[in-house]
Amino acid sequence: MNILLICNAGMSTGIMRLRLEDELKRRGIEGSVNAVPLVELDDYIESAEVFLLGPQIRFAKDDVAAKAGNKLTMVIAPQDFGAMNAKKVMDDIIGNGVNV
Amino acid sequence: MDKLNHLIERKVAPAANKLSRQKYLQVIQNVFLAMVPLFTIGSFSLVITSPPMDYTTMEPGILCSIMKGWQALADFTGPVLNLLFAVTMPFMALYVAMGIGFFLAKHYKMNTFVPVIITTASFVISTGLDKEGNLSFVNFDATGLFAAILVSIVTFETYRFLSEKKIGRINLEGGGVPPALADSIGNLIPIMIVLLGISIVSNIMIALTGGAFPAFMAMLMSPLVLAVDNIWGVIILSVVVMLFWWFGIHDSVITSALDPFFYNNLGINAAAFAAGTAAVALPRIVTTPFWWNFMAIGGSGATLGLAFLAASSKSKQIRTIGRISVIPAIFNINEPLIFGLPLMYNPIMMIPFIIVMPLNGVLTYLAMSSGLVARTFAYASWNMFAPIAALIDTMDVKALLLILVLIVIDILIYLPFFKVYEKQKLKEESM
Repeated sequence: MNILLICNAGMSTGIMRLRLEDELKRRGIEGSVNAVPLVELDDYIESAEVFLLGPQIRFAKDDVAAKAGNKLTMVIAPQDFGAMNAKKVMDDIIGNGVNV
Repeated sequence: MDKLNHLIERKVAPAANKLSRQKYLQVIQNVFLAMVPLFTIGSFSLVITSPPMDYTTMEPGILCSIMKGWQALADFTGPVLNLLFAVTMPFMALYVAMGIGFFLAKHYKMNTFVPVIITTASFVISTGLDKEGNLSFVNFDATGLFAAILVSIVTFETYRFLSEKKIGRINLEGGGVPPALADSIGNLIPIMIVLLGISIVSNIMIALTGGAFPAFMAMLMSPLVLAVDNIWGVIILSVVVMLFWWFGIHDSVITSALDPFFYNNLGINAAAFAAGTAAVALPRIVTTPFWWNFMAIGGSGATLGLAFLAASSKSKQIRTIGRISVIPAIFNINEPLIFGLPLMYNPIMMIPFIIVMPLNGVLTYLAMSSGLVARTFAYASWNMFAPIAALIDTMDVKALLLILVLIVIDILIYLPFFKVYEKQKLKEESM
């Protein structure tokens, strides 16, 4: 599962990226996690399978979803992002019907 | 509260989205983001070659020896580092012109190098020739920044229009000509129209105003620049930015529009400092490092101290978030606090969250305008630990002390509100 984290500069989602990578490993799921600024989204549209937005740019969700087509686009819940709760985020991804 | 929430999510957030999707704003943000390493390199070159004190006028002692050593280092590295500095900040407008061509072309998925040539050549043309008829680098620095932005956008769009409408297109496709060649030769006439046009306009400008276009543009923009480089500008802008963050919305909509102003001021200060002006007497105060290193200590909202308060809280919930927040806070990243504590939509924390950063701005502005603390001429980057960053930005130990004082003041303002919030959380946890 290739997960793409999107925020303004790719910095704060960088922390979430490390935690999600651990979470993938813990669950034995093959995949990668990338954290990029919103302005570089276009370069990753093809390769990513799941699009996660930081809550600070939640307003861009519809735009990202339109580009992502039928792939999952989700805003990370503020409390999960604040607590860097990768387990909950991964549960949400799987709960949204993404096959692993 | 629900009503307010509704208003923000339905009205403010979509407006922010619309603005942040604004392609020119996005492109400008991209350009300055890409240029950060260049500013860092220029800053360090300038700092290393400029010992803050003149050892020849000092009493013998440790400090004198350090300055003597520093001067020796400056003399030794000068030839290399001065050259490095010369192509960083003093060339910022030229790079902005290139960057706008590149990122706009990317935005429109034009896979060709031509737009970069168009915007770069047009900007250089707009700076005119000097009296001897040679190209002049004078406006490649901060003074040409606004001209670079305007000229690049206008010439790019003109070129794109001509090219898309196939005006004057020379059709070479099919005849075994490589596609890249077909594209550049095919667009020969649009390229010529744009460059001829800008050259004619540039010459008319010089004939009418006696100076090149960048000087005219800088004059046009000066009221706005002065409004930003002003204590009221600092207060209003930072309050608006913090309101955005209180709603949990990123400030890039505002701060990316401010980038040209902040970098313009930084470039003007760096040039003045390199030319020998004392750091306390530099022309501008509100610069990129002023905002990101002196005001946003620990992230927008100046939450560095708050992260430490949270990490040692009696409430388990607050402490958990605090411990996640401390290390990012040192590097001025505070999303864990904003969304985890949370500060977003938190009525108890609203007052300190919104007023602390403007207050840092006011105090820094007063300290710098009165000459108590040196002004910024270098930029250590936004994710450098604030006290160290302030020292690099100004080469003034008093700037470091100022940051420490600001951190204490910030904590004192956050503390009473934090206590109320902590009490509320403790009560919830004991239930």
